[in-house]
Amino acid sequence: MIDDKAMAIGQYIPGRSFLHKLDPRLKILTVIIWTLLLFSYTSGWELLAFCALLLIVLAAARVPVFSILKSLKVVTVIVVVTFMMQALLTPGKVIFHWAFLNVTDSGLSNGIIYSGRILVLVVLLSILTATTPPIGLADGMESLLRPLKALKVPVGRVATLISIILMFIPDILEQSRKLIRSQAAKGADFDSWNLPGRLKNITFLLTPLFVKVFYRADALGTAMYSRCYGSAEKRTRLHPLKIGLWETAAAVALTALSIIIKYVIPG
Amino acid sequence: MKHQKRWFEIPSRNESEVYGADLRSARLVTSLTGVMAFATLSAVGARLIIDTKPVPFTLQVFFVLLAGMLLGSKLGALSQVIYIGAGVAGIPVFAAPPFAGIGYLAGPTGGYLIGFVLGAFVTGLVVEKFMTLKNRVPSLVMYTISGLAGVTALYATGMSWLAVWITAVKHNGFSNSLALAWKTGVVPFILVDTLKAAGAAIFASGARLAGARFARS
Repeated sequence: MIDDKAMAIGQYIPGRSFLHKLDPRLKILTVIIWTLLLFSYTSGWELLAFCALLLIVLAAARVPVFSILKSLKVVTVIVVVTFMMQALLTPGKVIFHWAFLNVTDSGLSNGIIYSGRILVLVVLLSILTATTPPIGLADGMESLLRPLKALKVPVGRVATLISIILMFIPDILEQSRKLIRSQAAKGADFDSWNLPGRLKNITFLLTPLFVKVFYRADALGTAMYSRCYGSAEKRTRLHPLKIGLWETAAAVALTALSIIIKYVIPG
Repeated sequence: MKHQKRWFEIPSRNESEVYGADLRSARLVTSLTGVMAFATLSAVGARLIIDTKPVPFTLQVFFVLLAGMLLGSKLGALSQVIYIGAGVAGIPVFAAPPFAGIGYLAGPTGGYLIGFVLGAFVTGLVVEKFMTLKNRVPSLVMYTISGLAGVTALYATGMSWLAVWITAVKHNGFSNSLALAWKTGVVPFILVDTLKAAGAAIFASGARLAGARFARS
């Protein structure tokens, strides 16, 4: 079924720190650049230096550190599996031997880098979502994707729908989980081995799900129509985005530092 | 209303009766609600793992194909773009950990996400071609063919990106990676997804019939 643990990742923690006030466009751009840089780091020292940089950002975010670390719990299994695979399967000089398992030096360093990347990436993303409300992210993406308008992509509409759907999805997920339970309570057997029977049971799930989703969407459509959505060409914003000088300076400085890491720290 | 322009074919109520004069806005809102419904369903499909015995069963591909079949090429693709957008904005809607974020798109399975957009688009395109060629409501066979075309597009995109990713990480040649990507990223899913395409076709033609009956009443 649906695990609630994963919900911890994308949670916004309200606050008034510098990072909260930072323009969402700058934050998204910085995260994209950092994600790319993260994959170009090839030694543990570079990764460690990047972690120091991340600590500064975390301090500036002024969110409870525990809530960020909680998101790491979700990827524990993947990190451990990645580390073991790299440590045991990479050929190189054997430094630890037990039964048929050989841990090699290059395997160990590869394992640290690959699993470290995942951990750092998750922390980075949870800082982004913890300090930016979903609406802010949607607005930021709209603004960044505006060049696509030349290709006749309805960027404004996409952003509107994304910001609506951010509230819509958790609700429907919750409802569909209830639906599975209630259908199972009524005798729908999702565990049966025979294929036709199972397909039939899935129909018992699909039909009410469809009815629910379309009923909601229909109600929302009526609400949008009665607020004259689509009647005017240009829509204005309640809170227009703007980038200040200090914000830009901070973002540029952080990005520059992360690039310097790549060339200064010995690989 | 004529059958040509409006692809979203599950009319909620008698449109002109409810919405009055501003048909332009009404149509826009109707198609957008359809897009939104399918974006939500895709998210639910990814995160709702029905715990069946041999392998867990998800409904994501099913909803992607259905979006193409019922919304048409452009709106179907739009619904998938919005699904991805919601994931990038931080709502945990993707199928594997970390479930959200820009990093997921760059990961090994990111190609499948782009594949969802293309898959819905191709499915819708084939349905539309059938509709203009034969000039009638598509049959079950047409839906199935379009669904299979969509699945092909989806996996072609997903596999190519997976191969690129494997090449970058493992540094073996592109053709080797392509073979590996085929073996791990496509073959295990062929049978299940063919079945899903058929299922989506059955569901789509059922929805068309129900919609037509609803519109007449």
